[in-house]
Amino acid sequence: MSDYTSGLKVGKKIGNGHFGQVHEAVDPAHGDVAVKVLRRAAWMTDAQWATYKPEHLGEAQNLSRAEHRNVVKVHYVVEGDSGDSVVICMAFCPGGSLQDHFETGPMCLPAVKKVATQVLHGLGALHQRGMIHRDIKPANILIDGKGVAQLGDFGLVTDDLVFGYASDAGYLDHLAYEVWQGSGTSVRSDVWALGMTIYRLLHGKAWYDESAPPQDLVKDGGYADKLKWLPHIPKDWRRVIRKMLADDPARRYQSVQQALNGVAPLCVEPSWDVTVGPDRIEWRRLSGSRRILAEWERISDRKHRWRVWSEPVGSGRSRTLGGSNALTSRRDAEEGLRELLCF
Amino acid sequence: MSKRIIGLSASTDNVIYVDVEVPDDDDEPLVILEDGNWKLQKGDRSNAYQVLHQQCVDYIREASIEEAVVKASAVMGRMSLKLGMLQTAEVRGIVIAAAASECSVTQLTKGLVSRTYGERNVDDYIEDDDFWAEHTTGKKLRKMSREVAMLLVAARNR
Repeated sequence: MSDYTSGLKVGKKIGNGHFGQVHEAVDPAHGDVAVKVLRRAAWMTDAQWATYKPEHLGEAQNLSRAEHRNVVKVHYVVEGDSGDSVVICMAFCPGGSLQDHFETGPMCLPAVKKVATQVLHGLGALHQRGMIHRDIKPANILIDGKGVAQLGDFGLVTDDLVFGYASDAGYLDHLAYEVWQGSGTSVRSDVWALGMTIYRLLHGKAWYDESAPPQDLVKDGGYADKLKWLPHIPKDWRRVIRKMLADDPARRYQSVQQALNGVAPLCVEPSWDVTVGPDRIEWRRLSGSRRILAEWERISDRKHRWRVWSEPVGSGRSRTLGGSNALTSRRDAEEGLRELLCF
Repeated sequence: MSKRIIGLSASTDNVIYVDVEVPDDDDEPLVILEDGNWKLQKGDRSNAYQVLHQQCVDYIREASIEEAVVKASAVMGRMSLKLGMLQTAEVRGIVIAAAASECSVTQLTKGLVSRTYGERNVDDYIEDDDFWAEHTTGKKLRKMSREVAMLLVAARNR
């Protein structure tokens, strides 16, 4: 076996992950694949690496046997030649990760509900097999060639390493309250991280970045009540996300099955296309032969203006549906918009 | 060898499942491992059925369930057909197909259970707390799930 050489042809870099990079590659047996090379981090001692490597080689090998429609397929795992890396060969997901969607802007309700449901299915399979993901975030949700969401990058974090990780793509923003307090990760901390992921996808990066990062707030408690919502997010969605983000793990969904039942009745209409800019937020959707539009001008912290109107898709007259007649407070703008955007 | 069995009952927008371990010794009570429900997703029913199908397949596969007992369709007297009954039948079909892709499936009607199990009517057993204390152990069984568990008790004695 020492003469064995892999026919793996590694191509361009397609992403950065913890400890290493992800590349496109072509494998003789599996065709297009993604290859993740986990390198020993600079801060790791020999002893830490000696513990980490076999644990994760073993776990990744288990995962390579774990197949599920919503979990990225791991084809095989090998140790790098130098001994300072672990190479994971996985299915290639041409749709990329949801980090790109998050950075582009808010995703619409139907898309987020579909992703949440599919991620929960994948997560449920991992939990049933006694695994905890520990790193659920938009960057670790990949879209396959059929548009199906798959969980990636699982099983690569241990409780010992939770705080040793870099804050790539908001990793620390996805740590639950009890993890900050020193408790280990669990099924329920995965539920917390999914709640954070759903919140981020619904709001997009521009809105998310307007608030202090969760890693600065969660440890103080009461984070779910500090969330700032875009006005079109319906009440039932807010309730489900707050439940997932409760400080007390006992107040969250206790299992993936419960979380799926929480997500199942969520409404997905009206579905808005939303653009968040620094001074202006815009909403658009079609309703029959008319286009419904809304805008919220954020002139300063205290001065806001908003309006909602409809236009015919073809020719015809615009119709005002509501708005502030003069400059108003942020709170009034949010309330006015909420009333007209989620009914 | 004990056996892992799941009982399933469909309605318009919900499926009740009771996952049990059936001990080899017929005198031992059923061990309730899970008692829960899968809610049908709101909105487009084709999407909702796809989600329910996967949920059911995943559960049965991951829990290594060997057999499913499904509450079968039944005609109740001369009732006129209502949309809700048709939708319940659709949901039942999804569940049967999903279960059958992973394990063997038995369908039992409530009437058949009444005729073939014990001396009393099924509804009498469902209401009888002592009966459940005697025949089940493990996790708490919700009252609303007793009808599903009754399928499992009856299937065990067939």
